Amino acid sequence: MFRHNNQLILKTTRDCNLRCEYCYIKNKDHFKGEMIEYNLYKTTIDRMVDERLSNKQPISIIFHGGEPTLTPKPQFIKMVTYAENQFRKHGIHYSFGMQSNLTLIDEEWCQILSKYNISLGCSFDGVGDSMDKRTTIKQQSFYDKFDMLKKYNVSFGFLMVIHEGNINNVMESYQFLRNNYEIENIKVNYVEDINGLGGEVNGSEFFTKAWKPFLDDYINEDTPYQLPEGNCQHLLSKFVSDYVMNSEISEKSNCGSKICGGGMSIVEMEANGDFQLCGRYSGNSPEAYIMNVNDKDLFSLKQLRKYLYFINEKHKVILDVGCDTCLADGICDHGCMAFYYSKFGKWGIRTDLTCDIHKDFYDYCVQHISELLRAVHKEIQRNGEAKYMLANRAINIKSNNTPYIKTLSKKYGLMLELDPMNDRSLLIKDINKV
Amino acid sequence: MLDHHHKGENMNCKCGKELTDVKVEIELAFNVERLNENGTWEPIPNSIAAPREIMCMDCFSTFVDVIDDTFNKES
Repeated sequence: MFRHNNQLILKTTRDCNLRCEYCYIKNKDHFKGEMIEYNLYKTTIDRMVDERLSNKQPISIIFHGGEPTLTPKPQFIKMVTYAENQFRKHGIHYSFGMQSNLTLIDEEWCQILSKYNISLGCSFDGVGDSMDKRTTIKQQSFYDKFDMLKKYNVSFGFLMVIHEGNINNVMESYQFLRNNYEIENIKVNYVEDINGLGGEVNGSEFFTKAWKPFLDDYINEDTPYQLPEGNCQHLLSKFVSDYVMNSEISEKSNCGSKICGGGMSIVEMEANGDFQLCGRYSGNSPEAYIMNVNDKDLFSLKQLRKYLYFINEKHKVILDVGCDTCLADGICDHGCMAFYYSKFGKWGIRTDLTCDIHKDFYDYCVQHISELLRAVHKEIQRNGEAKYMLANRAINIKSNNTPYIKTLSKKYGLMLELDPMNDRSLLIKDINKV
Repeated sequence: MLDHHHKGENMNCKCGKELTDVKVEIELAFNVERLNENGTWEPIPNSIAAPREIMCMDCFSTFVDVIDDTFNKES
């Protein structure tokens, strides 16, 4: 299970102290008191070490749930210490992360997170009454947690899940985090209403209110700015690969590539040792089940077979929807099969959400490609040259007679070149410094 | 039990036997592409894998027999 992945989502428990309306783990009451046993965890780490001795690529373990801070602190310390010792002993590069609702974070947890360099992903839906769909805990309590994390030098970032309750204050929420906690990067995701409780925002509204403001700020010449939203960063790179370059599809992305890496580059393990294609499958879905950590798997053939099965199902869905001939095919995340399966009990993607979001994004980029490339240059240039990492392997730059190439040259004094040292890199150069 | 693939350390086959005389190292090249609507074979980068196993002579022989039974049956 661990030969091919760069990330393990380790659910120490599916239990949680909150009942967020949009959470994809159903029937949380059923998992009350669930906690991974230390010996099972040890078996997992031993297997990981054994299977990665010939693959020295770094591995990341993300402690997840439910709510992972329900793990008793002494057990958690024992778990992290064991993994650290084993990885260091066998020369395996590693990192730790945790996704948490923050409600149980206290000074002790901050000390643990800081000591073991565990990066914390914080679920935060925004300012005002944005958190009402998740908890009755007062907003100020969360701000106090942020202050605590800063006090103990914990590395943390934010994930905002957008629904009708917070769609109108995305930028305000980001600016609050930036101004008060020096947060430079954030991820803003759209929610899929898998529980049938409502609250979804349609695709176009999501793009307009959640992602477009970040893009508008980015291309604004008066703003000394970066592009802080993670999805926009990723999609822009895919857009440049698709629109500006002739490229070969080479991007391996855990979540967001045309056929995601769930079950291969990213694997998820439940507290009982069961591996699933992805942590977003709600309940014990046989379609998502791969094997248990105690099962043997020569050449990881059973894992490969399961992933091949998933590929085949996604392939059928893509053909059915018509993605291959869509303008936005090169940038789209092609929907989440896990969320769809959790809601409808069959394979598919939410074209009503996914298509509008990505087509709108694509259209925006086409209209503003010159400004976007200028903004990239402004953000990352050193001595007049910006090396921009592309999502895919570049073959050459598309026709030099396109209008945006002329605009780049005349209005911004910039030119484009393939990086001779790296076929995943586009050079944006200041003409005056060439 | 952990398989140690480093030189000089004791190595064991998956069957448990210590590898003392001959070991067989097999690496599979795995790669999947899909035929898209445009009639082109489209790569799936997440599918690229090269799993590797080390086994004793007996296990290798069993492995060959299994492949033979599966693919080389006379129709």
